[in-house]
Amino acid sequence: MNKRSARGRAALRLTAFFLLGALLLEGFSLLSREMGRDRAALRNYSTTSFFAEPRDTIDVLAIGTSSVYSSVAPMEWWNRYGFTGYTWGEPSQRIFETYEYLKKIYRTQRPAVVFLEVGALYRDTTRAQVLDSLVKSRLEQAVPLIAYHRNLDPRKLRNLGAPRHSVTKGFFPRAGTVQSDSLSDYMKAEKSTVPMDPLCSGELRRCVRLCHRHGSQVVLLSVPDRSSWNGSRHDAVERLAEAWGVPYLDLNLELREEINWRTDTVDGGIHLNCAGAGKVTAYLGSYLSSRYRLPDHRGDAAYSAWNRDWKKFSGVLSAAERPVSSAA
Amino acid sequence: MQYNSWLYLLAFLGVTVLCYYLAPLRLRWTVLLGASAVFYWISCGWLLCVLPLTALGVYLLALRMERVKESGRAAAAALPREERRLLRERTQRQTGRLLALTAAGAFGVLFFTKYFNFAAVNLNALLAALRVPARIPGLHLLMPLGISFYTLSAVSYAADVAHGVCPAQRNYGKLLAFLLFFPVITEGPVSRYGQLAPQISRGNRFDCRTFAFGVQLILWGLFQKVVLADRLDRYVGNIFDHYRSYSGIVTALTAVLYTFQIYMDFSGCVDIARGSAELFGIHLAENFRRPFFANSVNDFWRRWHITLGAWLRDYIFYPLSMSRGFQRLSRWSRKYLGAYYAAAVPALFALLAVWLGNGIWHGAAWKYIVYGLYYYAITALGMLLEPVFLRLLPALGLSREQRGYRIFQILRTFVLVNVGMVIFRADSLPAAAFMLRSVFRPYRGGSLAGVLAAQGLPLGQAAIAAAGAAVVFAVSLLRERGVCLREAVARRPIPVRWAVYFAALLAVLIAGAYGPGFGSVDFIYAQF
Repeated sequence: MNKRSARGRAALRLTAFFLLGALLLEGFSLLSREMGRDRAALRNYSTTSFFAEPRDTIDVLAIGTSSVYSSVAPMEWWNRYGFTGYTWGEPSQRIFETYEYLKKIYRTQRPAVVFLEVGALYRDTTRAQVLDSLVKSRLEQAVPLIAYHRNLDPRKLRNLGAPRHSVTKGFFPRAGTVQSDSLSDYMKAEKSTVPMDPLCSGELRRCVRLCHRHGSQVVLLSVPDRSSWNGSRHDAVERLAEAWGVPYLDLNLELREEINWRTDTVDGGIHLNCAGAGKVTAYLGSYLSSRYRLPDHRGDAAYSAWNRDWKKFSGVLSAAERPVSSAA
Repeated sequence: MQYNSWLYLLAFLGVTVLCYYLAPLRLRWTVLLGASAVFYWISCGWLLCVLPLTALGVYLLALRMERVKESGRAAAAALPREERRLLRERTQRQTGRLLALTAAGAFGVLFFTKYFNFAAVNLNALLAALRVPARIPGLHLLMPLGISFYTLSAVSYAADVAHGVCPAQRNYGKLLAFLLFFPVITEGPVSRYGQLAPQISRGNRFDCRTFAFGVQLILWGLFQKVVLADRLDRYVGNIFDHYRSYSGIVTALTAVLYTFQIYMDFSGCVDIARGSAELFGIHLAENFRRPFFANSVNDFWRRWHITLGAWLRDYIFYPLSMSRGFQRLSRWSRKYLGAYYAAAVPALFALLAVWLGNGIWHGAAWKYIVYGLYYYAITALGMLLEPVFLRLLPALGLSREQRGYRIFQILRTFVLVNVGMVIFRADSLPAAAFMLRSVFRPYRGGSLAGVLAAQGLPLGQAAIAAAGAAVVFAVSLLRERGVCLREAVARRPIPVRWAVYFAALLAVLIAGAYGPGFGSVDFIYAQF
């Protein structure tokens, strides 16, 4: 009897321990998310702002790494074509995270077109790293503190209660120029490139299927980035796109002549600055308007907030640099 | 697979622990063997095949050694005394040859994969200097993960079998489970067969206390690695990469921060490894014992990477010191130099082999050899001058027991260790020499805080690192005074205990230098 009651007490203690631990983690996770509502690119605040958009109002979604949120400014599409878009970018996003985010996105939105930025496929170079990213992406959904822990900075306390709405629609305007060290053609094939891990391509396939299931048309997208892309990687993604019957838009090639690596990059060829983002956004806008029948909501009262956002967005850009607007 | 990765901590370790305790007791070692194989395969793919193959050689040769010894013992029983002695000598020669073959095979693989290109480069330079047209081509070699640690364990096992310290393992799988044991394969501690293998082979029942202690040790290791070592990595890397731009206080501080970084990195990794093993009821050897409380370089190496030092002592220093040549040298020294030098002179020669071995074990570069020789020079100087110090200190009214003198010794050792770490970390020997000289040149490129912030350690990050360092110092001080913190915490009431556990978990999760803004930092010693 004593033994049984001792076991019962131990079980109770263990349950209490894990419950308390779960409560603590949940509490700190909530705090870390709320304190992250600022413009720091560590974890893009705009991704959480995505859920502040009214249901089923986003026509185009661009999702991927920091390359996406540095290059795609959906407000420019609104101004020029009248369709709505949102950029969901996370720094160093892995493809496993992309899948998790897409699942969340489809709870509130049904974008007609989804740009799946495929830079996320090559972030990890070893099998161990790929598996780690897989575990981490799943874990982060259960314990967001792991993803947002760096927001728990006393200086970010002022973000608590800050408005969620994003006028840049996920775009992160980056001012300044640090020209690339080399201006050579980085898209030449490199045979020594580390091959794409099958787990990553498999997860991309799941992303594509998820989008198709929700009625979205998928475009695989590569954004100009000298540090990540080369001919071999392009070929590998192109083979996948052909096999799955989805278009692949590699802006490293499409904008080879337009992107000036002396003036359009903010960090020596990794991310684009506002000038480079203007070129990418303009190209994608033209691509979307010519291939997809996306609605023009500019006269629709339900979308009046977007007109207000456009004015504010222009102010945000003025605070950084203007070229996005002029290029678009 | 990194020991601080989610993959290892949650998926791999979690599944392995579950399988281990669900398996029948007598088969639990197979779970560890399987887990080690999976760990190895995930980490380096097909290179998984290399170590089991070399382990097969070690296994067969160790069995052969034991058979030679057994047959020698059986034959000797019926022989008269003199013939028994001769037979014993012949048996020893045979086992010695087999041991040499085993060591040559194990070290051969290590030397080929780790040192071939280094040797080729230096031989080519020599050939060029001698105007010989021949050249040794460099090879693109992949080094199996943990081969440096594996080799030491394999050779020590063979030596222990040869010397009768432990019996040869008749089950190849069990030997492999010992040699490939996943917590120690990447960064040690260097394991001895007699200490580790029985714990793996017998299988252990679940013990709540040992398990909880294991989890605590893993958390403590993560704190050292993720909160402290990784936080300093970017700053230290930037300064070492651009060492010519810095001098004075910046260079000196960087040397200290690197020393702290590598200590936290290595000690953190070993604590995660020890904690992982404790989840299976397996206790690994201690590898660090508060090294920065050491009062001499020798004392430092008795506290730093203890298991490597012990290996070099037991398998290089002692065999050399006890060899016939060294015994003759000892007698000669006693005759001509006196009693003190009778022991010191042979030791000096044996230590040269030890420190060369220590240096070259760390890597295929001259800086590592110089790193070993640097410590040899200090040790040798200390030994040669010891009689002088023994006379000088009382004459100056000093005693080694005085508190002030002990603090001086600790600081002196700390400075010497930092100089060694600059040699160890710098890109090359000229870079190390430049950095050491530049410490004496004032830095005029702005404030120290400005350099820290610009090179990856802004005020907030530096404050976290300083607070973490204070915690490490406090814990070390308590342990130096004989307080076992794990036991002390375990004796506290539940609210206090839980508060400590949750605080440790949250400290790692919140203050850890991981995720966006921080690069993934490999364990420093994993490359050795």
